[in-house]
Amino acid sequence: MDRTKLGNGMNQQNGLDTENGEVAVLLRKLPRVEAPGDFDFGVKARIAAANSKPNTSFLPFLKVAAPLSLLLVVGAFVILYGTLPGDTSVGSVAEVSAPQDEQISLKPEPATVQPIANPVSTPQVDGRSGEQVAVAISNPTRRTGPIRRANRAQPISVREGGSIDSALRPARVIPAPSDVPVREILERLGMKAEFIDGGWKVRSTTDNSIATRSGVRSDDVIEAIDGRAITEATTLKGGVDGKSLNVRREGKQVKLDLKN
Amino acid sequence: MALDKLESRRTEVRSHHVSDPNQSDHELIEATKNGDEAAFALIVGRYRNPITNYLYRFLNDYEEAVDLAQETFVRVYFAIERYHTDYAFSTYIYRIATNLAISEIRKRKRRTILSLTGLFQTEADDTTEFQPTDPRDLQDKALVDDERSRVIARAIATLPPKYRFPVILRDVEGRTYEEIAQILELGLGTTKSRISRARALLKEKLKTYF
Repeated sequence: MDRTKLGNGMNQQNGLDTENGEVAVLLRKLPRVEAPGDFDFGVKARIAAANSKPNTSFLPFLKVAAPLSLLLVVGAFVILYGTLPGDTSVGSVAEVSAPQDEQISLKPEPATVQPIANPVSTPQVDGRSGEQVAVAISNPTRRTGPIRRANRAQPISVREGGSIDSALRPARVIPAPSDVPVREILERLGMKAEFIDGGWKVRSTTDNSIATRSGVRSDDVIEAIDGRAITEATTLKGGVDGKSLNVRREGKQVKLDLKN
Repeated sequence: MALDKLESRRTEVRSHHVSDPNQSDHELIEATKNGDEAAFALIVGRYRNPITNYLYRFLNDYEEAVDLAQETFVRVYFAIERYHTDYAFSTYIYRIATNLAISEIRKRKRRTILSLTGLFQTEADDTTEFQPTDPRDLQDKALVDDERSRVIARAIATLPPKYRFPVILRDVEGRTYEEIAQILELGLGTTKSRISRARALLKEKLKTYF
């Protein structure tokens, strides 16, 4: 590309260069720089280097590696910790937290309670409810099962979760399945009763108890719990659901729904 | 049968073909596409000086200009399959060089290395940061010419890129307005307007020479 050609190109459009043409002339007089002698060699070397350069693009690799890594991390977390946060479908570890009175259940879950070979701590023993053992609970529906409490002022401290910190807490103790006498059940409902004339006659009721809230009065005769007739010697294996009471009141049959 | 012989002879000729310096750019490109390295060497030889000069006038840095000029040819080489002969090869290679120069300017801005010559001034700073030379006569003409060249180069370097590119292509490289419009992907009117504006700015900066 010599200067003559450049000059010809310019001369073709001189009409447009008349404005500030002296500047154009000045620029045209600038000395032209030339490429160095090893210019071609440099180009060839760059091309050769580019040809021999391995493909260092990690993008395709990252497209696969990134989600895979994430999956591995989540998988490792699940394996190590046993469950995802908030997941209650996996078994949790029970803890010893409160006296028996705070955890009265009229119907424990016999089928879902499994003794732990080496409990974390020594469980309390309640004389009324018989033996207690530290247990691991594996029933996913335990939360929604009926829980009756004799004393509502003291909430049941049921903590669930599969995290490792809950596993390290002391085991909670719940009553083991056993035959529960009717008298004890009635006491847990909040009434004192005696078996007279084929029925349990209520002598007194405890304020703010299930019995009081359900409308049980003194001199009522409890004849059945949850439709099951009760006698003096009746024991309710595994407790009861505690839904209703059949009461004889002033010679009339009355059905009372138990209210928490 | 005769056709087969003719085709065979053509193939033979093509395989032993030696690139001719008188071949057009497009012919050399085609030869390069067919693996003729000598043809590409001819292209490099044909454009190395104009491209180096163009980049040098734009960057006002010879080493950088040579580096980008070499990179321009490397880009041409690897993109040669995508090159179409719809327009002149000179337009194509100048456009690549221009894009590399723009990228270089952006890199420099990121590095916040501002040239003392005011290379990266914005349009608003057109009239600042420029010290004209001492207009007194000197005995040595070569020295005067050298000094004048340096002053003009610095004046060009103070122009905003959008004026610098077209005025260099027009007044230094001698490209036509149509070519410049194609290289810079601008309208013809915009191209002319920018060249005119660039000259006016330069005239103001170099008024001691007029």
